[in-house]
Amino acid sequence: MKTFKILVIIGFFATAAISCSPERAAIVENKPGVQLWGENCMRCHNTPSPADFNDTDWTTIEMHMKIRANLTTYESKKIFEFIKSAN
Amino acid sequence: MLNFNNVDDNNNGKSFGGRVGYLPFTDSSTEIGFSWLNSKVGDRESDYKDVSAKLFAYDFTFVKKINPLGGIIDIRAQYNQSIVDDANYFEPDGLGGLEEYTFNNKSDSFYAQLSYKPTTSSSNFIKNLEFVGRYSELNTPEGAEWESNVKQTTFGLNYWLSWRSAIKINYQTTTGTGGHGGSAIDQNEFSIHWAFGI
Repeated sequence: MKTFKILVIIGFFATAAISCSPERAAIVENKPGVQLWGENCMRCHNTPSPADFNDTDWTTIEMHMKIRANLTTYESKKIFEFIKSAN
Repeated sequence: MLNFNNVDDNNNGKSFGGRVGYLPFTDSSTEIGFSWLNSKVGDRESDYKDVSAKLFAYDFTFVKKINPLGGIIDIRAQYNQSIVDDANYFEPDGLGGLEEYTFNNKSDSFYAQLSYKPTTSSSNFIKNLEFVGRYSELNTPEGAEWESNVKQTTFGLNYWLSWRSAIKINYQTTTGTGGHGGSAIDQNEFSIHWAFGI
């Protein structure tokens, strides 16, 4: 049991270190807005068409969803730039 | 029994809890989470004023568009456990007096759900469909007045009218035992819902 606990703790810190690595951050930063839109939004709800709302509404939705979905400023900027370009 | 509908604060205790989620992959498809809440639940100045409850939950989510399957797979599961401190309770003994009793006040529940949306279909009708299966269990403490062991299986077909509105057709079976006497539960239910977000 003690060995198992040690392995769990090592595993936790190893995965946390990988998650925070510059390589991982670079992968996310290189994704286009349309990909971030598909990956992040559909985890919780169906994705509306960009044409369902105008730019003003999308700006309000951006502020709301940035908080609700824990999006970084970079992610939300890319996602909503894509949506506004497509509506 | 924990009462989740009470709106009055019954003591000066403060609840402490939270959730930690971890998304191991860069496509955000998978999330594992752990949540907890710890609180005193007994009424102030009662025999149960020091009784505390601990709630734990472990959850898992996987949502991803799988191209070979032609659509989106959505898998969700959660295991919950509630642990209330041991205490002595009283119930009428049938002779005009009270009988003291106690029990191991632990409950747990579990659900797993799988859904599939064929979003890449060339048919507008088919791409709006969603096929859903769900299994859940609820086990409340043995010896409690609300003792039950219930299993529920649901099969559903959803039709998405828009991105936030769906017609949901479900068939659900519920089996198990409930109550002090352990009477059998065997229910089948067919339902049609219209769900929408605003």
